[in-house]
Amino acid sequence: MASCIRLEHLSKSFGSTLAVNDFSLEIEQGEVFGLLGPNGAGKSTTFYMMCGLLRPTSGRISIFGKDLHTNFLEISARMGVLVERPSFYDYLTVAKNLRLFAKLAEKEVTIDRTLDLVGMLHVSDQKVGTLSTGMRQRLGLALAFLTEPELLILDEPANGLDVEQTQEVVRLLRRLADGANVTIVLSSHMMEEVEALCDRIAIMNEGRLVTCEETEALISYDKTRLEVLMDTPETAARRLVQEDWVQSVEVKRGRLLVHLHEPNPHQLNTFLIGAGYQMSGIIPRRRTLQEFFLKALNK
Amino acid sequence: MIRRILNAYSIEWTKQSRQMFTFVGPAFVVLLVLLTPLQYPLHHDAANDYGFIAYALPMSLNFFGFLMLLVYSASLVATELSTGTIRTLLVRPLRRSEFLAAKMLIGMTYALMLSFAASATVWALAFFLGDLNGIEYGGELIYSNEEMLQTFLIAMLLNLLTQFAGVAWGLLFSTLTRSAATAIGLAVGSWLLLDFLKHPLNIAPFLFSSYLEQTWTVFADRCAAFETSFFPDAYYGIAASTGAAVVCFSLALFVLARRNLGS
Repeated sequence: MASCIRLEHLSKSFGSTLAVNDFSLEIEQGEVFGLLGPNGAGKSTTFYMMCGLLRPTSGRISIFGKDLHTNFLEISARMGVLVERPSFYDYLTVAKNLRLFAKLAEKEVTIDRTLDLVGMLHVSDQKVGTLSTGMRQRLGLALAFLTEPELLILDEPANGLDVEQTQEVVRLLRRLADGANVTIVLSSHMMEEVEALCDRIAIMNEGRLVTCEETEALISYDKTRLEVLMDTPETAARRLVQEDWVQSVEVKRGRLLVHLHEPNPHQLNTFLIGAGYQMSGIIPRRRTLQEFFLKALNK
Repeated sequence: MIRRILNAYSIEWTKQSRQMFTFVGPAFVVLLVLLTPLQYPLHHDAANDYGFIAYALPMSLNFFGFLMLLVYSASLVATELSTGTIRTLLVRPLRRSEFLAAKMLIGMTYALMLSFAASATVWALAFFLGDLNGIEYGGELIYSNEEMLQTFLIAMLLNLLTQFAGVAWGLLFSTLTRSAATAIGLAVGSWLLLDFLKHPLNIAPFLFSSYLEQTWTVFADRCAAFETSFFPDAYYGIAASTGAAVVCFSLALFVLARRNLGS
């Protein structure tokens, strides 16, 4: 697959503060890529450099195989950007704002269709100053989608959206990625949203890349944390807690949760059968992205 | 590049034309001109009222008009910086230099609006409430109406050039800070300070704002039937204004190009 974005040894410092430190990354065409990190990790700085608002102190950014700095006009015409807390002209209507920004793209755009896409057609004649935070965020998304870009760079796309709206956005982005082969790069604090949407995830901390993995690999099953489906979890728990290969045992809402030192469900199965317990199954617990995230940051 | 600047200018025009503030300046200079007859009466008789034009126009444009122009141009970029709309604009296919050029153009348009509003009002007042019969001295026609109109237009063009330098001056301060109020304070304050110090420091000939008044001097002299010429002073005015406009715009571009728009 062709590379869409290539960041090579990217660094950005503000005075003596190094916000991004030797950050390298490659994002493929059609990929949905998530950039995670705690506040101050350098995500937004990286995003701002990718959309040309900040110039790196050192390193190189290539988008669509071309250097961003020297080909900014050509590249920016092919990408849609949502910056954190998007700003508009409050005294103009929603449609007028979109029409204004569309002028710079020099492309035929259908305002109504884009507004319909983000569920804002009914407020197209309303002044932006009267919109709620969630609505403004959706308008930011509409602006990013407006020119049907090949690349979407979305900084915190679910900011200010409620659960239902977030789900809508996730579905919409997935549809764009699958149907129109749009490359999407996003950052978010909402792990579920990232987990549901992204093909690959990178974690940043203190300006550096901590890890970059396929989402499936990150949230794979954890075979040291097992849930045992059985009728007598309390008695089994009392037996298991005495075993040295068991790290901890817990009974939660009638379910036996066993944490092993080693990923060996077979040993647990043999032990429980040998002890005469009746089980209907042993299920390895799915590791959440949040757990992986915290582990990657050593928290 | 020209197309992108014109697109950005068209955006600016749409935005500015929907803001009340844009029309406050022209309304203000029109009001000043309308109030001028209280100070300098017009008389509908054989007397000539070119003197009224020579009095009212510099009075409304050179201080109050120029002040409004500085306020307007100093807020152009600073407002976009403080609201964050500059980021929404500059992630699109538009260079920072093109964005600034569009701002310069809208500032120049505002200068034209101010000048047109003041000129149209002053000429209308002189035409309808006074008399414009050419400039005579001892029964001899020294300057015809056509010659006076020509003189007026040259004075206005030279004045506009100085005002354009004022736009670049305001824009420079507008790129320096995210606060429109601070930018306005700096632009107006520095102008007043330089104007105050220009004679003690002997920098008046090099200062573009010195030529705001100068451009109208020839028109005023001709109203009094003196034979005067715009030149060579106009050359100095053109050089000082063009130089100031180029230097201020280049500095504004330098500042904006290096500005962190990330947060």
